[in-house]
Amino acid sequence: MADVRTTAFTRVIKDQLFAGNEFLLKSVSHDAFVNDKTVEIPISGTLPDVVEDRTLYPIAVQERTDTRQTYDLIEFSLGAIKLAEKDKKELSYPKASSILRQHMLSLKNSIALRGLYNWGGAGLIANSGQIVLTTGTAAANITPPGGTGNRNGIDLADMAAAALKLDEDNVPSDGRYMTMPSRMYWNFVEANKAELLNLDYNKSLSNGDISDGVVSKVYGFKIIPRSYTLVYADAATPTIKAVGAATATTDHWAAVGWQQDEVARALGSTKVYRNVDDATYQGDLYSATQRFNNTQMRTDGVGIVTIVQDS
Amino acid sequence: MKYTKEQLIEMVKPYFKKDKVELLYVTEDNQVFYPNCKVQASSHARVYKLRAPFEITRADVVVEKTKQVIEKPKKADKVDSDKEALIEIAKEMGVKVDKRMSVENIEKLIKEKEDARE
Repeated sequence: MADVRTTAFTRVIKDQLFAGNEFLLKSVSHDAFVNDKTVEIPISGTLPDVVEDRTLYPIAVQERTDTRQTYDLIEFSLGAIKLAEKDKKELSYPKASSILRQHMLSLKNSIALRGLYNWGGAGLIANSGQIVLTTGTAAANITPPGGTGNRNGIDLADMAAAALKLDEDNVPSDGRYMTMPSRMYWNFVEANKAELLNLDYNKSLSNGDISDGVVSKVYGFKIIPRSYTLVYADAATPTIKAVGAATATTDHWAAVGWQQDEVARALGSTKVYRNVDDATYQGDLYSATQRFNNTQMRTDGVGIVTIVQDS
Repeated sequence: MKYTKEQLIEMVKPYFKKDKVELLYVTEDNQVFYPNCKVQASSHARVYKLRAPFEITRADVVVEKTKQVIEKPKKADKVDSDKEALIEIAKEMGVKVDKRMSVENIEKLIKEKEDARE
């Protein structure tokens, strides 16, 4: 008698994959203000000059004029998904939990992209060295999506230029991070592996660093590769492209470096909404929101440096 | 920096080089979005306190181009087009000419060829 073969259904669903957003946590926490509308950060003004062996009295008195950096919280809202009664009964895998998990990851991804745009966007001025253009060997496979032609890879000298800019601005040397597009990062490693191995570029990482997504440390920057970071339009002074903006063939990838005390974030938890056994839709409805925003702590962008591809 | 719709129409022309592109959503700060990213365009405008995104269609860009054609051509443009026409005529007549030659010289060579034929 022939064997009867049956179809086996696994109970585990392969969900969509999303890039991580652990890098956002490498910043000053304003999470306590996540339910407020606006967060304000005071920035101290200039001080009077220091005079040695003062002879003139009375001393001229002046007030210090402080300024402020502000940012409004954003509510990220994901559209509703229906889980039909049929799916609840007939499917071999728990679709409801998969939907909830995906909702959270999707929100995290959108938040990460907005966060990178905020840190890498405003206040960066090319001629003050906050945008470093790549000078490494040109390669064809390191363009952003839709890009054509060659782009210069990142050279160790570019990393040094980025570190130098932070040094010159008196930014602390510890707690420096850089999120780099994976295509840029692996090209950088391949092109500079001899020198990087001499630097022991990945031997001084702690377990905490590794769990935060840090893969190496170069010239003081802890590097966190990510599949998608920032895209800049090609120009003498490259201009940042918004999240979701159309790309052009001449666009460039950008890596964002920062010192963790010079950026802030207010990150809330994901709130999931459920309409179980909804009579109108004859199924369950799910949606989710999460409050978030982040900012450069200073209005002049000090503490941030961006490495943008050149061609 | 904020731009007007007219300025943006000029700036987004390269995006219409792709045949499939019929409509773009463009925010005041020159961020360009394809129709499938309309939600992101609106979000960007709201978050950064900008006007609602402009809808720029292929027709907007074509109208702008037509305007340019109707406008009186600049002297340099006219000289270039005259020269190109003369080069075409010369080639048809079998006269060897070069783009670097002046209009007067090309005309002279064409006249010489015509005289020789007569």
